[in-house]
Amino acid sequence: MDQYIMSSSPHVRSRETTARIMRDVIIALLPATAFGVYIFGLNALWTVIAGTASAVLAEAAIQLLMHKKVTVRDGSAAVTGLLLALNLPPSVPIFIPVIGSVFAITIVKQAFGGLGHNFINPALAARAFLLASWPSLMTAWIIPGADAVSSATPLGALKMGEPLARYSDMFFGTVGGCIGETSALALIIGGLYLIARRVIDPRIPVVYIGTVALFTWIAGPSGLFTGDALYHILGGGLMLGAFFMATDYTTSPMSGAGKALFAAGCGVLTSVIRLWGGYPEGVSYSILLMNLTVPLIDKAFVPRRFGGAVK
Amino acid sequence: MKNKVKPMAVLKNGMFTENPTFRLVLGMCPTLAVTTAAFNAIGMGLAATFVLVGSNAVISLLRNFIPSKVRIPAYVVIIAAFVTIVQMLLKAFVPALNESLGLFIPLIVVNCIILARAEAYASKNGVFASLLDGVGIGLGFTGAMLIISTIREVVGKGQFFGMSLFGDGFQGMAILGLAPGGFITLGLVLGLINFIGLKRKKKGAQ
Amino acid sequence: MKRIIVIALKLVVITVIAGLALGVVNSITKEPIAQQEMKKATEARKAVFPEAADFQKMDIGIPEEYAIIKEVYTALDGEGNAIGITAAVVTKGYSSGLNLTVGVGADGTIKGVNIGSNNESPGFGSKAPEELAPQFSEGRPYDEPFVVVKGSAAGDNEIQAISGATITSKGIVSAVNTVVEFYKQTAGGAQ
Repeated sequence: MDQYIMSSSPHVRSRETTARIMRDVIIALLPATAFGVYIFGLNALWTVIAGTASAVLAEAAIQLLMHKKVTVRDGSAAVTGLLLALNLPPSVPIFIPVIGSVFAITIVKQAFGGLGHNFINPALAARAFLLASWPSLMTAWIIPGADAVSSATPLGALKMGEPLARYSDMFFGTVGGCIGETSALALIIGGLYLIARRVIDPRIPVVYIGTVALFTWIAGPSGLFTGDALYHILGGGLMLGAFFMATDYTTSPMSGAGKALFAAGCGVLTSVIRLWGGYPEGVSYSILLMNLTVPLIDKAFVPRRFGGAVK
Repeated sequence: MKNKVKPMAVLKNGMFTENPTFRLVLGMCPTLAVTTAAFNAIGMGLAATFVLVGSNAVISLLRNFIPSKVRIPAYVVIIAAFVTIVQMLLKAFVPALNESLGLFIPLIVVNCIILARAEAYASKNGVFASLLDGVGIGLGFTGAMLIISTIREVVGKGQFFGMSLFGDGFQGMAILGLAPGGFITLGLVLGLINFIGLKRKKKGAQ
Repeated sequence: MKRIIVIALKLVVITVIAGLALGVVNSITKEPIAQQEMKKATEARKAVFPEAADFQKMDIGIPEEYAIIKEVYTALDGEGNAIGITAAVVTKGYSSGLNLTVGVGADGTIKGVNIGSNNESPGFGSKAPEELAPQFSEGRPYDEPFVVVKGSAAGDNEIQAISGATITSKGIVSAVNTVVEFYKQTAGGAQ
């Protein structure tokens, strides 16, 4: 079973194995990871290593405990740990990624049946768990390059009415934020690689980012059609979320129309949280919320049966 | 029906075999709501025990008087009376506990444990046995909530009965003090207890 | 028909007995409850206005725009001169039903803020009594309205938000501002 992706029929044979997909995701995340470590320094590296390693160890440990086949070699646990670490502020103490990864793997993933059975994205669920548990540690942002100087993220600055970041800084990633979310460029490179390798469906990131752009442009601060859509696209975790989190196979719909609806929902929720919510950023909560609607979306948009009549 | 009541067996039944939280899975609302701190859990547990003992005894006494057609309204009136008494007593003599349990005291009225024991036990058994059943179930409820609240308080706040355990530097897992933390803790403890129960059963079978 | 009457009568008997029992308990606990509540209210007033020797209930209508203020007491010094007010407020933070008592001095400073029972999220807004209230007990002047800031507060009118609970902090600070406004407009002018 662990050789294949869970999906409805047709079960076409292909060389696509979980291990290959996960390897591609890790390769695609490398630019963003390397850039995050480069600008935020050593603590970011330790956070990434701790998150990834403890996710793999937690998966092996719980599978041994539950007398299941140990499947850490498929790389899915490593991806979860890496994604979680990239979603953490660079200054967190080392126990944060460790506890987060253990929670993501043991409670969110394995307790619900393991790979392919989790109902929400494990990395994002762990991030929400950590944010609710240690709000001050999870929102302690630092200026890239300078250690331990607190700064606002671009979206935080927008919310508090502070001076905004420059577009070029946000595009290349020299702004405050989570380890892996600051550089739009590195994330786009990774995302394009995944699309080229046909690992992810371009519909989700395109519709997601497009919806956010449209919504934030329409609902501008000084009347309709005055919003700064570019700032919202480049700021925060939108790129990371759209390319790497919302596209998770298990927690996104199967059919194309369903995927588009799912991504549009993510985009609307993200914009609403950013513009009118209590938090400056809403990518992780909106993906988690839309994860919960996936079973309903799948019911409404059943994938066309292989070989069935085209209506 | 004239069996001799074995007090220890009735007590043990309430506390372990038919533990209201871990075995019957009743009374989840107060279990999740007040287990943020051990002090609250004990307060809630004892208040519920008092109501349970009182209502069990009275309902058992009146079991031949209460017409079966209106037994539920009759039970609710009796239980509500005991709850109101508890609330007035707490307000008058233990205001600190009253403040922290707040809304949940009146909600004992609809705590399904109490109504369940009235229907399932007190209406069919003698006064003495019903009293004991109330004590056993009540203590089982209190003990279960104490376990959950201890985990939530120690891990969530680094405190036990309000005393700081690990010094000021400790930052607890605040989510355990919130509603989702209650669900997660309850689920894990429930799973662990069932796991132990299954292991024991297997051993017994061999 | 007769059976229904019997059933109804039995239910009535149970209800009446329960009612009698409640009456008895009520007569026992009525006095202590009233005392507890008095004590609590006086303590809350004393906590936000330590300098006052006595308090006197102010019998004035509270204007519409200050509707969150529920009760106002005049704080008196040893000689019976009015030296400020305390106001009991029920406002809304993250959830409604946030009780606080505010002491406003005639000397132009806040005397103290006491945050009572509330429904704020545990671990976040619920930290207001420890993290927000002490910021008001430093004799802060109230000539300018208070504002919430994230990070460290610098100015006299800046209040540091509780991390993760900006909405609660804003609710409390705006309630304090309302009481100050009320004192300036109504009570202060009446002196």
